Amino acid sequence: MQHANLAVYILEGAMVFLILYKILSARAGRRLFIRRIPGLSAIDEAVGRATEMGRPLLFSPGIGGFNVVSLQALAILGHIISLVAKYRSRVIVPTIDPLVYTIAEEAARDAYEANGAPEAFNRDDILYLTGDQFAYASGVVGVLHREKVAGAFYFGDFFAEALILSENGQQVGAIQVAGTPQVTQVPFFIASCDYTIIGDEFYAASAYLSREPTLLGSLVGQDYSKAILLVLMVLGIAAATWLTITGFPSIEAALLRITTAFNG
Amino acid sequence: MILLANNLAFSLFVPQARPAVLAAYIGVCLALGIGFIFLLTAMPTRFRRPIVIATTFILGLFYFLEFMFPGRQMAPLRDRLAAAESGFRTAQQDLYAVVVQRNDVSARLAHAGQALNDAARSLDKAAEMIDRVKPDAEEQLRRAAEDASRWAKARGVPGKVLEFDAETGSISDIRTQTYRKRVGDLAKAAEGMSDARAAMEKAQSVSASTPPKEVDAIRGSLAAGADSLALARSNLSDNFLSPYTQPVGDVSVVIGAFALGLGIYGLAAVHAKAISGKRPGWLNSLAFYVAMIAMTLVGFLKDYLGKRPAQSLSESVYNILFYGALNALSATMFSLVAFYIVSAAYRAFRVKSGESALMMASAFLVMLSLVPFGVLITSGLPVHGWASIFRLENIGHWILLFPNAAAQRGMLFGIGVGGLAMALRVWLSLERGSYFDKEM
Repeated sequence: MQHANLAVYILEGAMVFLILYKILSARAGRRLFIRRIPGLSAIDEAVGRATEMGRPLLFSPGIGGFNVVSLQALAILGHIISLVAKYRSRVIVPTIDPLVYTIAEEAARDAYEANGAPEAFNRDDILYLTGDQFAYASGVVGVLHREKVAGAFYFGDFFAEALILSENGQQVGAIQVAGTPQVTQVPFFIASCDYTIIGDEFYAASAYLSREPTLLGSLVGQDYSKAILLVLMVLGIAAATWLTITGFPSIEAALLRITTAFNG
Repeated sequence: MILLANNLAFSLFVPQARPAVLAAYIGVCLALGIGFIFLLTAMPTRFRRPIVIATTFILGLFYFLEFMFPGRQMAPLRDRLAAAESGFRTAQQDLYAVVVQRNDVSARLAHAGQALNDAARSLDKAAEMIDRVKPDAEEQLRRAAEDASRWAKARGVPGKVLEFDAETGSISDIRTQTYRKRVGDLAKAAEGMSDARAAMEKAQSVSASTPPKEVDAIRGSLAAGADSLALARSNLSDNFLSPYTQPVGDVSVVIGAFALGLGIYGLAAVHAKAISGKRPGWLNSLAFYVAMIAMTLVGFLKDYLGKRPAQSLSESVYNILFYGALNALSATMFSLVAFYIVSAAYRAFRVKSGESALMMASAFLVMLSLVPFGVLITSGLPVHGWASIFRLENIGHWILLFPNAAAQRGMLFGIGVGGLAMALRVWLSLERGSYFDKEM
């Protein structure tokens, strides 16, 4: 079992403090700025296009179980459904995990109700397809082709099925936006989707879309935390380079102590 | 204390009864579980929200505390392993002087030798500690296993109901699992130490005349040895909460099982509607029912029929359906990826901007570097020396190892921090979403 060590206490403590501090200051009314993320702006465009064409949208929350990534995906789904409810369009949500299915259904119902269109909620549009990776992929491909979707969103954990889904989306001419924390799948999405959210933009999505103070504060706190990591990296690179050039023993000893502390 | 809690849990949750009564008991528990979930779903948000917040916070706090406190019981052993690891890493850095043939080779070799001697002493002491602690842990495991088995047998609890350890033939409870893990961790630590010792012996034989390539390989072994010591150290840091991570994890498995029921219900309802309304493709919905019932039936029969002829038939049918049909269909679907890669690559490699030109060029170089023809193109260049960097295999290797790895790690840092922030918001119920209805 892995447990925290001194380095984790310091680093994680600092990051948690920064994130919470920024959340609290944002909730207290402080205005925060976040840059434009084109992939997320394209969501509005995709929903509008689907409405004009009279065709549905598809949202896949990935094949992960019920975890932080799925929760983030469902937060994005909530925003998309708000737009869909506003434009009186339709979104199909195929899921692979029963827990995610249950929460997606709840999220969809809430989003339609919150936008004054409870009658637009169709329980049959939230699908629990299967628990198997490739059976899920073939199920989603079937939906993409049968429904001729105008837009497809892939947000969540994706693995080998990523390319199968997005290439079929391309074939039906859907405008596609994808975002995943699975680094190995990002190139596939970049190759086959119109817009791809990469890295931590995935976690920034709900803040960007909803502009809720809590989420914005959290996002700014994340950026400060990344700045700490960046400074540490630069210092580490500089120290290691200097050590290689000079072989100065005190730096070496200090680096060793830090390395051992980080290793648990 | 653990034994008391454990026995109390057994008394509450496992009836002293025969299998028929036990089955009824499980049925009642299931009904209660479904009733509780129904109640939770039906109750007004203002009551449900505090329950959700409190449960999330308490469970999160459990994992937080479990992670934050390293166990003290094995602390002296961990300190020894840390000292040995530090010696390994020092020696590894010193040997770099031999690889690059620096002027201070002899001084660095002496320093490395000193560090390795210190590490050897630490490893000896750690080995002594393991020898001292291990028999006690094994004895505690034996007693715990006996207690658990005696307790369960006295109450007629069927072995199949509880976790059963096939190796010792005993019924396993939290206390048994704790000691079994400790014995296993000590054995793994001893194994890690023996790997590390082998690397150390090689490193001790290095002299100023050892070829740099060989020294570089030995440095790699030292790094691997240090890593195995670090792993052994982290395994030995169980605290007072660690034994309960499994039972607490089981809670989410149970909740997941109820959710699976909801998922199957949803799926069945959608397909039932399709069949009753004779919607287009209703035959596929019928196929769903046939497949689900067939797999459920043979899946149960193969495990619960005992040694009867029908059991072997069920197993054969199960194997045909699972391995012959489902696995084959999955493999077929997976094989499509190869074709999709080609069409995606075609689109991705159309040069439309500066960035896509850069991507195209680097992808072209990496692809060439991985095929024999690519290696042949630059085979005329020397293998060593400055000109060797222009060999295609070296260029491809450099692109993958440096710019590509750096970009991926950059993304992973961002994702890690983003995950931390998201987890924090969920734990403290600051997240908005349908699971909390609106922002707290």
